[in-house]
Amino acid sequence: MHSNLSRDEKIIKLALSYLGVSRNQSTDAAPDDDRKPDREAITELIKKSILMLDEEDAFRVCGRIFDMDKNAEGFYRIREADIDLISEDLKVYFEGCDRICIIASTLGSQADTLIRKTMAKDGAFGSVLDATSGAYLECMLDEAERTYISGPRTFRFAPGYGDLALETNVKLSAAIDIYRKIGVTCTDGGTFIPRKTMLGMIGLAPEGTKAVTERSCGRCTRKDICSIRKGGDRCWI
Amino acid sequence: MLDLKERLGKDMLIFDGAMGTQLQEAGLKVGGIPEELNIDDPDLIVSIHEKYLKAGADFITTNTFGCNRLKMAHSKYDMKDMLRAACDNADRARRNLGRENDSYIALDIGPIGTMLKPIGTLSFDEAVDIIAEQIETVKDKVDVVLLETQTDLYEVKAGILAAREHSDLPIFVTMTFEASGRSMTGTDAETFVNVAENLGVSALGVNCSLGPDELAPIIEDILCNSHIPVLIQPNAGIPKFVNGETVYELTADDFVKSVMGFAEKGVSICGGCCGTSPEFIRKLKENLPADVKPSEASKREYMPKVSSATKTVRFDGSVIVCGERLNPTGKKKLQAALRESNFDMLVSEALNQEEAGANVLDLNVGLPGIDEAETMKIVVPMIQEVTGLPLQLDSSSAEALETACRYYNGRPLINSVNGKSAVLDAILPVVKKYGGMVIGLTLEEGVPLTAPERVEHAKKIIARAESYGIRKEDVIIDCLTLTASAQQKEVAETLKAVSEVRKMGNHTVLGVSNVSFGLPNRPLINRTFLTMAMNAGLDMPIMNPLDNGMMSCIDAFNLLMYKDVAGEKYIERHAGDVTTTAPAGNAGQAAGAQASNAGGANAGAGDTNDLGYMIRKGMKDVVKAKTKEELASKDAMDVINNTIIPALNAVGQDYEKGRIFLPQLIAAAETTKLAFEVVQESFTGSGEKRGPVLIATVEGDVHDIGKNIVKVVCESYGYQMIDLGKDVKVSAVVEAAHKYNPKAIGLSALMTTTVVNMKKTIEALHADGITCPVFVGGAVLTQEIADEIGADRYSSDAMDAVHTLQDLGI
Repeated sequence: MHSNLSRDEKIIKLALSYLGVSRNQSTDAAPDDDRKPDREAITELIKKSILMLDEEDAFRVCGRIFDMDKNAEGFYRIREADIDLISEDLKVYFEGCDRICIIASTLGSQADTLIRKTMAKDGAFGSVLDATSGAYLECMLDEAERTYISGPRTFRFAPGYGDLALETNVKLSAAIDIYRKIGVTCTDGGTFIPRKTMLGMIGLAPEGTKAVTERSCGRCTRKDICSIRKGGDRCWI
Repeated sequence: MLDLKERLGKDMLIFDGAMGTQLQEAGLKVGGIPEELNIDDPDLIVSIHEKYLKAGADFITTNTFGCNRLKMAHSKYDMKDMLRAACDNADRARRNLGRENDSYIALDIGPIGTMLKPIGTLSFDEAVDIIAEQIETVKDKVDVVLLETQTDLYEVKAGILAAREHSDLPIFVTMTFEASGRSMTGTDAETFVNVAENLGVSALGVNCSLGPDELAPIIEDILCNSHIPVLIQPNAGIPKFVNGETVYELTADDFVKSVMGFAEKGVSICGGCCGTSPEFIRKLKENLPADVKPSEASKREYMPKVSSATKTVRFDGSVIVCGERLNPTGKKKLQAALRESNFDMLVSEALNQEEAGANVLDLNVGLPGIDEAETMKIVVPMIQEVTGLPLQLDSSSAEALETACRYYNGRPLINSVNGKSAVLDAILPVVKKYGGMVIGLTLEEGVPLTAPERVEHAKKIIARAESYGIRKEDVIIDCLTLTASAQQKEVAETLKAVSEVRKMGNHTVLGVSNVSFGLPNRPLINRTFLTMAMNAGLDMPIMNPLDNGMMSCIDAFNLLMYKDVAGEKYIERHAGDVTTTAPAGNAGQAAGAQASNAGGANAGAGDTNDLGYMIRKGMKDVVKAKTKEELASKDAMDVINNTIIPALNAVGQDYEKGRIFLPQLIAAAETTKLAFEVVQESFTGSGEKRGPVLIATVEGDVHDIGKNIVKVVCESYGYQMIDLGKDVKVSAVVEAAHKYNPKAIGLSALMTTTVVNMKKTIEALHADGITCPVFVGGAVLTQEIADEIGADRYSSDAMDAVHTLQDLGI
């Protein structure tokens, strides 16, 4: 984690990567070429978006820690919630972990409405706000995680990105009573409404555990089609 | 059985406490279905009810919080069987204790569990149907319907209508609120009360959310606004996360102490929610007074208010600006857009008026040749999705008004009735059913010339409204603005009538700009008439809020009449006024230019006064004027082919090479669209667009930003895009294909799970004989997947979509 960056700096960095404004972008345009990529202008729009989202003050988070063991096939299992995490990836990522924190956050229907309204008035700004909302959600959750957990931990892993089916979100969200706690519904397919919502799992290991898995693009199932990775960037800070 | 309706508001009544907490203590697993226990372990449920009854509860709530067909889809039991079992358990409990005649069973209906459109995927009609099914199943086994833990006012409305349309049971509604004072979907307490009370519930209030102390501001807000009994069921404090578990720390004594305070202020039904137990209820019973104290609202004069889901506008004597621009009358472009089912213009006008300071928006879609009711059904939620302003639903069709009122989220203002009996009897029942306010036009067969005649019409309309159970104050009177050019003497009669109606205690509305029709310098007459009318007592001018002169009149009036104390608002808005006749700058437009001029920070090379440059740099503010200038000396096709299209193509190439980015592409596309609008005005022919092209996000998918960007960019290339929206059912795409006969259909999906529905849509189109090409796109799509699902083309982004359409010869 880039812990030396402020919250806003992290959000800006992440939002720029979502918008395809790669840190490795081509800068071969001549200085007097009026098509030179205008990273600064987009950055200003991101900053404006952050202010708008702060003003909405709609960020909510909920979570819970469960004990974790393994089922007969070696997949991790949350016995209390009757959830089997059918994922080879997690066998690696969660190695050494005996507990799991399921944590979810949302920017509420207010963010969806704000984005829709902004898109209707100004599509360019709306697209920036949309990307910034996603980055905002990630970074705010990064900060909120600290109130839930401490000690050796893995990175935050979400269904749908590795080999863990997106539909797993249905049981995971029921386990933390996501609707009552933060007003989010989960469709049968595992997507969330409002749109700016995320749910993640963090493996927790006993104190003194040395190795917990770092995040890597190489382990993601989208690594071959990810436009952010193609642009030389990554979707996480 | 003691008649509940006789006791409400007179006797202090006690609700039970938490069921979920009790079940968890008895071993209910995380993620388990508590409703199944009604059949699996009825004795447990009965025992919990008995504990609460013994503690002194007057109401027991059935163990049916999530017992609807959506949430129970994966249950091992039929939903209806669980509902019946729950009610039988409650009844058995009270019979066991001999309490069948002095206790009440509340059918507990919690949130459906999925959000309603337009934010979510559930239609309003289906929401009503889901709740109606619950009520129909057990309405003979319960004494009251309780809609609880509600977060979405739209769902509240669906529940109330379901209850009223399917039973005669009293209805109680409680919402949950956050510490901010709003529900999770942004509804404040005053708005909730205004809507629910006028929809005819018997009691309302708050449950869950927070502890009693933290709920204090919300409860007081409810007490200040509710004229019906107030019910509270707080949690046992704020939940704390201790060792991975949720814990409620408030003791029963502290809980009761806080609740007692609310009883003193007028709360008349008290219970508990998460973390509470029979002990909490016992102490409530022992300590709460038996009689009910008067609430703050009962001591105040009734104030009429209209509401959206998130905002309430009070008729409190201040001037309320009603924007008039959502009306196709005299607006050819809007008429054309409505006929094409293109509602973007309505959305833009709504936002522009909101930004200009409107407090309410009039919405009228009446146009020969379109289905007005069906259009209202689409447009009302669409407008409400982007603006929080309350709407004035305007139509001469009772059917269109009924539809608009039904799908409106909030408390509507209905425009209008007049003195004719047939009109009153057609529309007043609609007003009553949907709890709205109504505008009454003071005419019957023709426009009365004198003030006394108009006042008589007003009295007739008010009396008839009262006979339908509509409060007198909820009728807003329109004393009719006549045209000074044709009826000069009668202008003063309008003002006299306004004064008289205000003295009667009713509020007034006028369509202001009618007064100047046919005269030169209309703005001068409009401003003067507006000021005179406000002085006579006009509450709500229906006007163009983008008219700075008119809006400034209101600011000045409020200052001079001491409504804007210390002139704070006036000074804030007008400190920078330049005292010339030049129109003031539009702050909204300036902000938009800054926002959209993503590429403008680096001036670089290029003639800034060149139309092509303006398009490339997304200079929306100036492109229209420049396009007109170009057209003064060049042929329209010359401007399109030699300036606009090359500029747009250059933007597209820069985007594909990564030299500009998505926001700049969109800004350029939107700028091009504006240029095209000007060019099309100059065509003597039809100015035909290319296409049409249908686009939609497929069934089950609610992500539409990408699809919207494709739409904007394709429109900038002159394509007529018909946007079906998101989560569009397979059958709806097929139906639209037959209706619009598109040249191509674009489908979008973000998730692998919804690509399946993309395939189904394509198969359904082919099966129904639709042969136009289908192109697909979205984050998970690849050429391989597109081939696999039977699509004709794959487009990787918005520019690629344009190339696809061009390659297809469209």
